[in-house]
This record gives sequence, structure tokens and C-alpha cells, in this order.
Amino acid sequence: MTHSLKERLGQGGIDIAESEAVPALETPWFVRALQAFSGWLAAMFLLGFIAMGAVFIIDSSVATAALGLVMIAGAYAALRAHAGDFLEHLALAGSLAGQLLMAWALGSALGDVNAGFWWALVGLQGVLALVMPSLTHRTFSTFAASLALYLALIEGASAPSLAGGLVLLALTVLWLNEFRWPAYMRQLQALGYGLLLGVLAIQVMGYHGQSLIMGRYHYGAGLAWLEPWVGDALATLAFVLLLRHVFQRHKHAIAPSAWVAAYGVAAVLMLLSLQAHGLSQGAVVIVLGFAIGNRLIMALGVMLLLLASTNYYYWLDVTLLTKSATLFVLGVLLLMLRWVLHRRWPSDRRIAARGGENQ
Amino acid sequence: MASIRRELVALIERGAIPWEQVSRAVALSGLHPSGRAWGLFLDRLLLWLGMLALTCAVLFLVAYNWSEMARWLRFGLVQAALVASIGVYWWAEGRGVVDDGVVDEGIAENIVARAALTAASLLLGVLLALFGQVYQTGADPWQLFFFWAVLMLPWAVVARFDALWILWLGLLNLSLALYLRTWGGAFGILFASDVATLWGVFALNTVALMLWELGARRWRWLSPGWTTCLLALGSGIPLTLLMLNFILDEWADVSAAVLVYPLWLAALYFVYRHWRPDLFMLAGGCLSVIVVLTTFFGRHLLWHGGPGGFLLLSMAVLALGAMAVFWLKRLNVEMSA
Repeated sequence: MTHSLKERLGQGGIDIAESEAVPALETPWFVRALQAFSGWLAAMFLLGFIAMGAVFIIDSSVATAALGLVMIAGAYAALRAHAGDFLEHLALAGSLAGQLLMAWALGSALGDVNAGFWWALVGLQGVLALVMPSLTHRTFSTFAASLALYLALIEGASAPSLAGGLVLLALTVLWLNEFRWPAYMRQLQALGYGLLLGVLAIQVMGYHGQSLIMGRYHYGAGLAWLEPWVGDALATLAFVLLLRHVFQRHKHAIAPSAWVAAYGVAAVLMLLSLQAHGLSQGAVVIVLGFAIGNRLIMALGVMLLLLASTNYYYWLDVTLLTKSATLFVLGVLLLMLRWVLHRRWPSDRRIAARGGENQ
Repeated sequence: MASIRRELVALIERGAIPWEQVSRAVALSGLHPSGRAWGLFLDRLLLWLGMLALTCAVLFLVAYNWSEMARWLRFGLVQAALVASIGVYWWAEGRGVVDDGVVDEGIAENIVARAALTAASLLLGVLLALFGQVYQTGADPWQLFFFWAVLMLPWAVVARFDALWILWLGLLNLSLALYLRTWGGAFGILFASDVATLWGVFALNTVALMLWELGARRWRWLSPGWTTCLLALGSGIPLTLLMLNFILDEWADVSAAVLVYPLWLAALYFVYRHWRPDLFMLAGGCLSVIVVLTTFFGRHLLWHGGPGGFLLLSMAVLALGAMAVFWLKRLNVEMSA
């Protein structure tokens, strides 16, 4: 623990309770990813064992669902017990295999993989994300719930971009309030990372995963009239919420003209996103990551932006010549905006240049 | 920023800060950027996005292959953009770092100069692509990326910018992979072309990683971080795939990978456990070992073992994963002390 943070908080009148106990270290994201990967791999083999060794169970939907439920309940009990890394792994694998069994039973009972099936999975994963006492499990379940929502909206409402927009809106609200309930801070962060991975996967599936949908996407049905702008509209709403939050944080330091300019940028971003879908989502995640001081989120935002750019190149509704002209205008506008900012706040920037990196 | 977040979260989690004071503690901690930091962030964001948008505009125009636009005009346009980028670089370098740079422990970063050189490097590739498009040279694709890398090398040297070096290495990787896939190269006598490609990419990235790590001790702008992680992935993934290829190939008797893989793991352990501790690298090594061992056991257990083989494999993966996570968590505590 550095003294500077403690001193800063102390000077601000925050009473920091001294403790001899060694603080619990946050497990890095890549160790959690390794844990999730090995749990998933073990779950696949466990499922193979059940499918080959207990075919009579798989033949009955009720028995499969019951076994799945028992495995999930067992995983819950093991995770609550905090009985070491091996049991935690076993619980993760057991829970994943149990979820797949439940999905299998549901598919068999419904007789088809339809919207109802995906909505049921959204419910199951949502509940698991909220109750499972493991941060890795919460992240995974939130991610799975996001994907199930995407597929449910495709199947039921023909509105694929609606899912991306809703998930982005949810994660923006969640991350902006990550410290609001300190007792649940870690849990909220785990859900936030799951939603972020969900947005990324939805973008990838939206751009390159048409084959995954297997011709089940019907234009003109359900909420198809909302497509494709609804996702970008929700992303713009998330951007406006984010701006409002930042302005409230710095309400004494920001001139009214800056407010107007920022909301103007949000509107322009929305218009540009109507051409380059996903642009606003990438921008929101980058700005969100910076606003809350989380570099991992910023890196995910850069990936979203790169995905949107690649998608724009391959978008067939507009010629490359039109895209070139649009990008040229956009580039000139961005650099002009930077020039205007330079003219308005030259001294601020110089100070920031020296002070900003020292944070 | 990252360390403030880690420390603050640890304090809140262990209840050192009264819950009713958490929001004030977050505001005081410096986790959220100040107004001036926002200014700097917006400045950089606008600069990089503006530069990339203009460069992509030129790229898209060339890709459109506009027949009504004379070839001299197309060449003139791309070359003018290239010269303009270099002009901006000279102008920014001439102005120094007073207005645009960040002073970080004696290292001056001229952001505008870096952005201009990055744009010039990308436009160089566009120019070479245009050359191939107009004159239909019939050259192999690997030549485009190779000559692009060769010609942009001086700019990468003068820029002292890690992202530009990664672009350069990416181009070399691409040209080497395309070359080996087509011709097999010197490795082609010994290996099939796909295996030769993996060996080539592995060798290139391993050497680059070694040089980067050594260079980082001398030049601070090469400081390890995301760049070395990327290079380690470029080194570890092809070697892991080579091992999988050997395990799954029922006709293979012996492979150099069997010898190189343990040496690579030992080097990874020594360097990133003792020489320059880095948990990400060690986690990558663990993941590679889990994948290789699972494939090895899977090949022998699943083909002959029936349902029991699946169960055994599942337990083996769980044990390997749990051991890796236990070890990595212990190292995390040790490295953070």
C-alpha cells in the first residue's frame, strides 16, 4: 500500500482503519481467465463422461434437468464453502456441465431451439450471475446471459442490434455505480466484466457470425423496424448518461459551452454510427474506461472500435468511394476540433501534460 | 491509475474505509481523472482518431480502384499525403515537446511527431499496394509486406515508439508466414509448409522478445508491457501448436518441438520468475502446459478409454488448472510484496 493514497485520504478527512491483517489481493484477470478456461474444458469432458456413461439419463428430459440442477446446487454449496482452489475448479466445471445439461433438457422439452429456449437461458444465467458465490462464475454467467439475450432477440424479435445496445447501456450504468454499494463492489465489477465480454462477443457475432444464426434471422418480423439504428440509439443514450455523470463530477469546472459541445459530439457520433455501426459502442467504452480509471475497459473499447472499423470496410451498402469521403470529412473535423481545443485551453494542456502522467 | 484502483479497492474490500465515506474516498483518491487529465485525453483521442480516419480515407480510395481517376493522380494523391505526414513530423520535431509532449522522467514524447510517422508508415503500405494494383506486377503478397517493413524501418528507428515497432514486427510476421506457406523456405526441406510457417513465426517472435527485453534495460521507451506480452504470445502460440501437431500426428516419430518446448518453458520460467518477474508470462506458460498435457492425455485416453477416459481427463484438467491457479496466486502475493 503506497503512503500517498493513504495520506491523500487522511488529508481529506477519511478515517482509515489500520489493520494488521494482510489485505486480500485481487486475482489478476488473466488468472481468472485461466481458471475459467480449465473449468470449461473439464466441464466438456465431464459432459462427455455423462453422455457416454449414462445415456439413460440423457434420454429423459426430466432426469437430465434434475441431474443438471443437482450439479449446479452442488457447485453452489462447494463455492460457498471456500474449500480451496481444486474444489473451486471442480465446482466451476460441475456448474458448467450442469448448465449444459439443463439447456439440453430444455431443448428436448421444447422440441426446438426457439426464442423461448434462449429466454429461459437468459433467466437461468441471470440467476446464476446474481447468486453464485464466485467472481469467475458471475463473470461467465453474465457473459452467457448477454449472448443468450442476443440470440433470443434475433429469434423472437429479429432485432440483433437491440441486444448490443441494451447490454452496453446496462454495463455503463453498472460501472458508473461500481462503488455505490461497497459491500457488493467486487460482485458488481464481476458482472461488469461479463457484460463487457458480452458486448465484444455480440459485436463479433454481429459482424462475422451470420453462419451461427443459421438462416433463422427473418427480416420484417417482430421489432425488425427498429433495426439497425436502435443499437446505436441505445449506445448514444449510454454516452449521454456517461457525459451527465462526468459533468456532475466536474460541475464547477466546466463551462456551459463545453456541455453543449459534448452533447453535440454525442449527436454527431450517433449520426456516424448509422453508417459505421458499432462506432458509438467503441467510443462509449473507451470514454467509460477513462472516466472510471480502468485501463482494461479502455483496451476492450479499442478492440470494439477496431471491429467497427473492419466492419465498415466490408459493409456493402455504400461504395468505398463514399466511405473514403466520409472518413476524410471525419478526420478533418476531428483534427479541427483538436485545434479549437488547443486554442481555447493551451495552458491547461501544458500543465496536464506534466501532471497527467504522474497519476 | 491501475495501482490507485488496486489499492483503493483493497482498502474498501477489507473495510478500512467506512462505507458511508467510500464515495468521498473515491473522489479524493485521484482514481477518476481531473479536468486537466480529461483535456489531455481528448487531445490524444482526437489526434489519433483524426490521423487514422485520414489515413483510412486514402486507403479506401485506393481500394475503390476508381477507373475514372488517372493513375498519376492516384499516385500523386497518396504521395502527397505521405509527404504531408513527413512534413508534419519535421514541423512537430522542430517545435520540440513543449506544447505537445508528455515529460515522463526525462523522456520526452512528441505525440504529434509519433502520430505523423505512424500515418507515414501506413501510407507507405498504401503506396506499395497502389503500385501493385496499377502495374499488376504479379509479385507474391509476402513481397508487399516485406518491402513495406524494410522501407519503414528507418522511421521506426527514429520514432522511438513501441507501437510502430509492433507494426513493423507484425508486417515481418505476415510476410514470413506468407512466404513460408507458399515456398516452405529453408525449412521446407524438413517440414510441411504449415509446420514451417509455425517454426518461422516462433523463431522470429522469440528473437524479437529477447531483443526487446534486453533493449528495455537500455532504452526506457522500450519498457516492457503490452508489447512484450504480445511478443510472448507470438512466440508461445506457434510452439504450442507445433506440440499439438506432433501429438495428434499419428505418423510423426519425432519432432524438434519435443526438444525446444521444455527449453522454452524453462527459459520462460527463469526469465519471468527470477530475472524480470511477470505473472502474465507465467500464466501463459501454464495455459500452454495445460493444453499440451490435455491433448496428450486426450489422445491416449479418449481413443481407448471409453467413458472412464472422459472422467479421468476431466479430473486431470481440474487438477492441472487448480495447481496452476494456486501457484499463480501465491506468486501474485510474492510479486506484490
